[in-house]
Amino acid sequence: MSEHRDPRDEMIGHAGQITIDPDNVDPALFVDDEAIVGDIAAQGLQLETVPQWRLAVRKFRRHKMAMVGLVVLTLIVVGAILAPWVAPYGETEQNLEHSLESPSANFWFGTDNLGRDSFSRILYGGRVSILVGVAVALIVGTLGTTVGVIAGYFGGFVDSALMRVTDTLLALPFLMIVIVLARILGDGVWDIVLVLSLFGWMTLARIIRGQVLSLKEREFVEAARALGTPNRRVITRHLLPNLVGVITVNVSLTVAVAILAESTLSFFGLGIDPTQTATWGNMLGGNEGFVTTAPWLVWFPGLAIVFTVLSINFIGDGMRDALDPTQGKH
Amino acid sequence: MLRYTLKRILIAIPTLLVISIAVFWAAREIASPAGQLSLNPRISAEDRVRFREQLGLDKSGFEQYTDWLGGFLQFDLGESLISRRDVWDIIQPALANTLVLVVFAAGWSLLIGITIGTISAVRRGSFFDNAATGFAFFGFSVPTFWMALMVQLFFGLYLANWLGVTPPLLPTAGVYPPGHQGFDPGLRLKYILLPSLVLAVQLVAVYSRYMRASMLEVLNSDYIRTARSKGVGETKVIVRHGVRTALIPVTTQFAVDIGALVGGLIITEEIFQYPGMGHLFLQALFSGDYVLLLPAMMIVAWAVIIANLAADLLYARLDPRIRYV
Repeated sequence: MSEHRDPRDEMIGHAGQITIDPDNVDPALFVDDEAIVGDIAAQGLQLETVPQWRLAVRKFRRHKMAMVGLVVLTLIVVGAILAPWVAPYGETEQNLEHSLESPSANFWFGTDNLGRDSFSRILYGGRVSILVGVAVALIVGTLGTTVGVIAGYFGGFVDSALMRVTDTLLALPFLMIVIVLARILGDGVWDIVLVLSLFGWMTLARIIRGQVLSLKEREFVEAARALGTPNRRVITRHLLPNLVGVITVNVSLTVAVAILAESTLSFFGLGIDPTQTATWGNMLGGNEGFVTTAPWLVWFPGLAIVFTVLSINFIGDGMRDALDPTQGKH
Repeated sequence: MLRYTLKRILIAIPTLLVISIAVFWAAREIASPAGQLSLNPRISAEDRVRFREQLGLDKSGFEQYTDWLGGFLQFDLGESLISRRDVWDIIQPALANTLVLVVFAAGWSLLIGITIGTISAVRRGSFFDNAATGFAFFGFSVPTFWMALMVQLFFGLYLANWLGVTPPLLPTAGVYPPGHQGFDPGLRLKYILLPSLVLAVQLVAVYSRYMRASMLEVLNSDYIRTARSKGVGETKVIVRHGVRTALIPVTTQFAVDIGALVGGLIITEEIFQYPGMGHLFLQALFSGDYVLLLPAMMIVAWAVIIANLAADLLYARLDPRIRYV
């Protein structure tokens, strides 16, 4: 089994499927056994105890692409946050005498038909695109975890009812529903966040439910329940701490999915209103007509999306390796 | 198995009904026909009453829904509000176009995905495997609409300029050149190549990963070891014993991904101006033609649900470990 293990095998997580690879359990985790500690001491060796989170950080730092992703994403996020100070031009500042200019020293990524600086707009647009991604991921994380924990922990009728809803929503064509709802609700930032969150929590709920089902059988949870610990306390004290890894990984990957979905909606003019604020998606949608005459207007916002999403996916992969060695292995 | 099949079909019926109600509500919410009539000052009061009767808007919401569903089930879909053509006549060719596109995209993604996944698993850790991993990450991370635009830009502008050819090597929009009449398989193939490949990219990324994982598991199993130790040739081991078994989870996964495929369809059809259901859906959505929008949404939503059901049944049939409960 171990000879065929490879971190890349885990790129696609399988919902609700858990296998523990005995060869992969970190030996450091088992050194709290007193007999072993005694043996080690008897040999005159010193025992180094490493907290679990530091092991995770170590593992993460060994994942090269995740580290590259972290650097790139940090640059993009910092650039977006500091947009009002670092952007050479304002978000809506028009230089009509410079309209549709190709990239130059003055306008790094060129200008659009209104003479707005594409580089500055990408920095400003990043604020909204990333905000939407993070907001959706946080809501999805909360919703998905709640549904998954309730279904897995209480089981029975609650479980089958919740999972019926989850599976039905999961089976629907996501983009079509999101397009229709976005059309009904409107084009504000929070409308889009709401729409994407409402239909994005199902995968996480399934994963969490699977994890809870297996955690429930473990001795420490059984012991806690046998002692009469109230359900709320079992969930918050015993289950959730053991789910932190899975939740973190999946929430971070959701940021990527949400950024892609927002850009698609905005590209079709169904997302965030371009007259209010620029996003990478609505910059692409608004400039689609110039694709042959001013291709830079389509190149750079798209590359911004690709670099951001790719970085997040690499970071997510690294976090999966570091935090959640049991997930997605066959 | 028969009981399980029947049970699953029975469970699916209420789902289909709930979805039809949701679709009915959503389509009306987007393009309220009564609202449009009352907003237009040029329509007289009597005409308004007449139109309302014609469209059945004077009845209760529930009656309108049952009338519509009854018509839908008999392919009596009414007349488009914009073009005045029979909706079923509009939908038929669009549905056919979409099915052709789906078949091509599915063919590419399974063919390329399975090949890449198999080679990756057999040559684990090789340069090919690393490149395939990189490609998969890329496939997950590039927005489909942007990739479609870039492909159009590359074939329609960069490559055409570089080679100095007009028209470009591969057409980047439509199904046939403007003014073309009749069926021409060669031309059709040429026009469908780019949209179907763009639609396939994300699926290729998914299936190559699934196939790789599935194949690694199979290659590591006892019966492969047995086949090898009996002296069966390596190619035969991989193709006959390995790929065949490894395909089971991949093919069933394919049906589950049909929901995601619809998203890709809407995007690629719109950008490549391919007259299929996705294109029709957006057109009806933007023009507020709810008579057209309703069946477009219903057909897609029901098709996806039924495909999922079929996938479940297929999986239960292929994998004996699934218990029929």
